[in-house]
Amino acid sequence: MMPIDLQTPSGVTLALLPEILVCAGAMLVLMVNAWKHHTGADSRLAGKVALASLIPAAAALAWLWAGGAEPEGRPFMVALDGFRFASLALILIATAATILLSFGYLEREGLIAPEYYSLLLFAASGMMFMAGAEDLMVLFLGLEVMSVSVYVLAGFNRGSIFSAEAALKYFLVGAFASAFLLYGIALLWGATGQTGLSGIGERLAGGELPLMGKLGLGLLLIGMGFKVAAVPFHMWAPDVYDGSPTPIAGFMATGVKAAGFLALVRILYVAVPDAASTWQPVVAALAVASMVVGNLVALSQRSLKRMLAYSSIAHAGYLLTALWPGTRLGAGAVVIYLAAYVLTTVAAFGILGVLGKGGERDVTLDSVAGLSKRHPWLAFALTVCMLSLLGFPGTFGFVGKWAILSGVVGARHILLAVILVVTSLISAGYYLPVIMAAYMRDAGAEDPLGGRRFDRAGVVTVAVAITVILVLGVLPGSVLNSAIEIAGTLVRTGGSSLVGIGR
Amino acid sequence: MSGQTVFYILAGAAILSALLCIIQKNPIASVLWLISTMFALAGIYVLLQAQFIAAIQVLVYAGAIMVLFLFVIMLLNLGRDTGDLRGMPVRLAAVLVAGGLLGELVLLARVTPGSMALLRGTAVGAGTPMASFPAGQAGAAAPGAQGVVGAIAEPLFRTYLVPFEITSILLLAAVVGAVVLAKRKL
Repeated sequence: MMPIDLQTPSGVTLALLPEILVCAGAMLVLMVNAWKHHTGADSRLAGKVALASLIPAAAALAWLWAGGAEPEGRPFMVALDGFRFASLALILIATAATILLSFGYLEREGLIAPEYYSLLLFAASGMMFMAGAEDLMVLFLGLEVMSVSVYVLAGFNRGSIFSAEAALKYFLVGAFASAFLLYGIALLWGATGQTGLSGIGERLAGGELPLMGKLGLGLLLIGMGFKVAAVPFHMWAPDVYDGSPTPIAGFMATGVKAAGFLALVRILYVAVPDAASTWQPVVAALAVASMVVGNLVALSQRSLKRMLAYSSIAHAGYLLTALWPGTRLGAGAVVIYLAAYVLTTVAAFGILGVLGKGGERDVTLDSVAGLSKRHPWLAFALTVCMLSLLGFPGTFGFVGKWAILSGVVGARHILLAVILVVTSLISAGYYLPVIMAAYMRDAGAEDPLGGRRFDRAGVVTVAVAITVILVLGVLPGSVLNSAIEIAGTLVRTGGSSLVGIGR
Repeated sequence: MSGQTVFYILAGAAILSALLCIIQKNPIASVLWLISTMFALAGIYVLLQAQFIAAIQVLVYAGAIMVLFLFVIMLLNLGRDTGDLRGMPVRLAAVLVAGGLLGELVLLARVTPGSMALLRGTAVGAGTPMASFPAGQAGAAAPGAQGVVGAIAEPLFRTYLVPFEITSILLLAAVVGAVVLAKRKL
């Protein structure tokens, strides 16, 4: 156990060491850019510096986590618990994978601008602040740092009008969502006089949420709903994913979504756990709408990138279902499902990035036809991704869905569980055709990759992700246990095992 | 006039100006109404005994940032459909406002340290708007002990140190992003 006094500047510095190191890395990349920003080699160098700067951040995180850092006295501004450390680890993994997949992509698309990597690191630091926030002010500022960086990254391909459209749309919708969130925070503060999450929790303990608090919570849910692309706040997602550079679309689908959900869990479970009867119906409604609309609309998509965008909306629905119970099982299910989803989606967008050119708007089912004959490993990786997104047994995605079901059934909401299973079955209608096209259809005379190849960094990233998906899909025991342990640092009530449905 | 009444007048002015800022067609008029909102907010800060923030609000927001806004709008030629500002009534109004400002300046010149001490002696009563905020009484008492600037510096650099530092990262990221998007040649 390592008590850290968060009231002192030195304590805060220690507690925020991973975030500070990521920010320092971003500034280091900026310094490198100041001298070297002309050639592809310079861009590559900036990427390497960015990647290297994640290592000390990860080391600091490991040190805090292994040392069992905990707040001395009251929690203040930043959380210090296993849940935050797990959140940071997830975000660091998503960032590292995005950087690795960007090397080859940026060069191929001729996007020589090393600032890309510093913005990526700034976005990562924002996500880390947001997911680890113990105070609504820190949460909001983290969200803004993340959003501002991602707006720019979405529009990074300045030669493409679709990229510009994506950036503008994302910016307008994002600013709109931020206003909702900020107003919600202001009303919650008005109702409780606190911005600290645990402070709000103490103030509201046991009592009924006052009307002002209900309004605040509602606006906050709307704001977060926009950020994680839950139906009915999802309209921006397909166009923005479609127009953004593919690694950034992957980053939005993984990092931004993960940070949003981790922050949402913290708000709902720490600040307003006693008002569960107020927010649970709202969360359930959002979850059902996202699962149904996301999956049904994904069925009719021709472009793989848009299909993945709608599938990410459906996954927002699954994650909302995961956090619905408000118990330890619920928090554990969010952690484990996010881990599975982040790994799978990163790999899927990585493969998509090599399948097409010019923003991958033209990658359809026909583009993967006969992939298995020419590129058996790529076809295999694509198959594993699709099966994991579907939740097929033997993949990590299945473990995630199992954890969600276990939490929801444990909290006796059978209807939500049934809808989750039925919509997952529907999703087979768009995941399986991809596999069928890759294995059962004949390729044309043309190579589906058209001479494009993964560079080494891309191959390693996808290979590692696929291996982890398969290994954890077969041997989920340890990861299920640690997810429950992690969730236990946030919530103390409700079940202790994710595997024992109906025990 | 009690603080409560002044608050409602200022709040009404702020809301009205904000509304007009949104519904105006002309961007320059829009910006001018936004300045009016900022001034009303500055007045509310004064009511909350936060004179320093009020001054900063006027200097930074109503002053610097708004001038920047106006420059951008004028440089981009967005306000081409401005109405005619050269009519006689407009000139008369301009002279009146300028005269009023001059009078105010002359009045202010007569403020001495002695007259300031009289003003500072007034304590914050329970009926002031500030008292209705959480921790408002303590907040109202703080300037007495540390001075107005001290009462801001203490929470800014101790309690809210983390959000304060994150704000600087936010600004840096925004600047980098703006340069990346606006630079002619990357």
